[in-house]
Amino acid sequence: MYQKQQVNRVILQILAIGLWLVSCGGDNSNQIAAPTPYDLDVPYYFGENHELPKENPLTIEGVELGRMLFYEKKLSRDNTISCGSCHQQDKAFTDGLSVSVGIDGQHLTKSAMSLVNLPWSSHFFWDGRAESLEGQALEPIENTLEMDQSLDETISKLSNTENYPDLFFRAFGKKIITAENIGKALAQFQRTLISANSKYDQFLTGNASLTEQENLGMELFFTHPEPSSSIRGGNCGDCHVNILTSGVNDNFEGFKNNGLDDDSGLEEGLATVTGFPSDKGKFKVPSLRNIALTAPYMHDGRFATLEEVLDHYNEGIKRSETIDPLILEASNESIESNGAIKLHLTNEEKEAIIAFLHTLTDYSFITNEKFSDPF
Amino acid sequence: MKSFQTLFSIAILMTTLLIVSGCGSENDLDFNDSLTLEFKAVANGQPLEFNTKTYTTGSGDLISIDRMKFYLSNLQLINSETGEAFVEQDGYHLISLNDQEETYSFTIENLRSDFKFDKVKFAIGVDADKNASIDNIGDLDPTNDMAWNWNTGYKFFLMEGLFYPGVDQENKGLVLHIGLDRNFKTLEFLTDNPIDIVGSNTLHFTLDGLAPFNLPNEIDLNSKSAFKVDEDSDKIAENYANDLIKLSTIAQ
Repeated sequence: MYQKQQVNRVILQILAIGLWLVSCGGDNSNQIAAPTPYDLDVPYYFGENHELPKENPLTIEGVELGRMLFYEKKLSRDNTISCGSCHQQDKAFTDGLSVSVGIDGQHLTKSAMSLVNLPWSSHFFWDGRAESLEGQALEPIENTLEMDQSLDETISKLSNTENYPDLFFRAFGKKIITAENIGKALAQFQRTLISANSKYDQFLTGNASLTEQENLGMELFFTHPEPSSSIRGGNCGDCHVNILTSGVNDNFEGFKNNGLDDDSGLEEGLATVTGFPSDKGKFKVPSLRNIALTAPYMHDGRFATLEEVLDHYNEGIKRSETIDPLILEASNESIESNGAIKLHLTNEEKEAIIAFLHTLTDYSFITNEKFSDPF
Repeated sequence: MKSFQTLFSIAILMTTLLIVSGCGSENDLDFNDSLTLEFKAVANGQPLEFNTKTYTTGSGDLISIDRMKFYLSNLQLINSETGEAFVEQDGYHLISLNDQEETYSFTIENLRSDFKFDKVKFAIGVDADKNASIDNIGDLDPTNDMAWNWNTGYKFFLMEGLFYPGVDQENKGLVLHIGLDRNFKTLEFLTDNPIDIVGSNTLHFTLDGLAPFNLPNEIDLNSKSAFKVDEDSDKIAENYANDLIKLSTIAQ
């Protein structure tokens, strides 16, 4: 043991010299206490397909500043609205409305998205127009329907407060507030919104068991039906992929047309970003974590309940040019040519899927004080 | 203990890097070469146009293709004369092609520069050992859409698109989700002359979007257009083992 420790120490010394060699030549003229790295607690089974950008590493000071800004009403023109107005923690960071309401009571066109497990996601907003969270975070501030305040005005308001210049200094080493750092701080806070303590998580880690109904629901959720082999499925996991229940995090693969409208009613969706007609009507596949708390559903909040959502996928699919092939080709009975697209789930199966969806609710997530309004 | 091992391996790695980066004797070996494998989707000898263009299969069925993916694993570069081989450890690559990514490539670094090979060997799929594991190795990730389910292994080959059955008939989904240990297929490609890697080379492969439907098993999509875990899916796997991937050019 003594020997090992000695070897250990020698190696450490070698490494230290190596690090010193690598790090020499830096600019130490403005030495400040560097912000403290924030250790994101992430379950192993979430996989490695996530990103924490090197240019905006999580720090305790940055996350704390981001939390303040998230709930800061000074980001809006009349000091009435913060990010947290439409992204409320008790509703898993949604607002319970079909479409959100911004400044002066103006209605937006989209439903507020839940904010959860964001490092496993990219291309934000329903149509994917913001590549990064940093970019996403600034848009609602300037949007005339939402907070309606220029970034210059926002910077000026924050600069004239007692506390914010110091908070920015601690997080980014500069008292001067910039739009870039506002975006970075908001992104940092949002990346810490990890939900990994639902009953489903406890089941995955062997700390809880699912009821018979929940288990049937889980099996159905993750199975694509194959009537020729008598395999019954609810066809959910094709898009809401394993464990995270969000879309594939690769380019725009996690954007789908889920049969809400026919060609005449199809919105542009992802096509506004890519310019491809084949992307018309495609929207971001959301995470279903905490889905029981985030009604109403879909990008425009058209369904009030999970029952309505299940009815849509079971018997309400509308055909269009860009509908996902996995929805088009999915039924628990042999497909009738030219007939409507129907999954043919039984009522009992639909109820089981909904029971499974309720296991995705994470009560510690919606009560975690680290995520709550600090004001 | 664990941290000791980690430190130790870092120290060894640093030492190795020092040796490779070369300040030693005259005849030490140079490991600075790299080889890129690039994949591009084609149909009828032309670049495949995803989503929009329709193609006719061998049995006369009209289809369009939205995306193709497959797992490439167990890569080997072999010199059949000397028997020497480079074997990529834990290499599981998810090759993904769609309208956003028309080519897909990955690179093997630190190859010995005097190494020549005339045979490339890799598999479509994930070997039984790793297919039964939930560890993240290479591009294996149980949270991606190539995993069938939380604990039931991976799809090896995925194709999604549309099948157009004809006038007065609604389009159908074209879905190929092929996996299962029995459909793990090893492919071999021979080059005309041994390849001497100099600096960085690229092997260009084509992925024929129509091959899964043609030889040796002609697939009739009118009877079904979705293939997953049954015997018909095994026929598709025989087809992808046969004609899907071709080595087209080698470039320096």
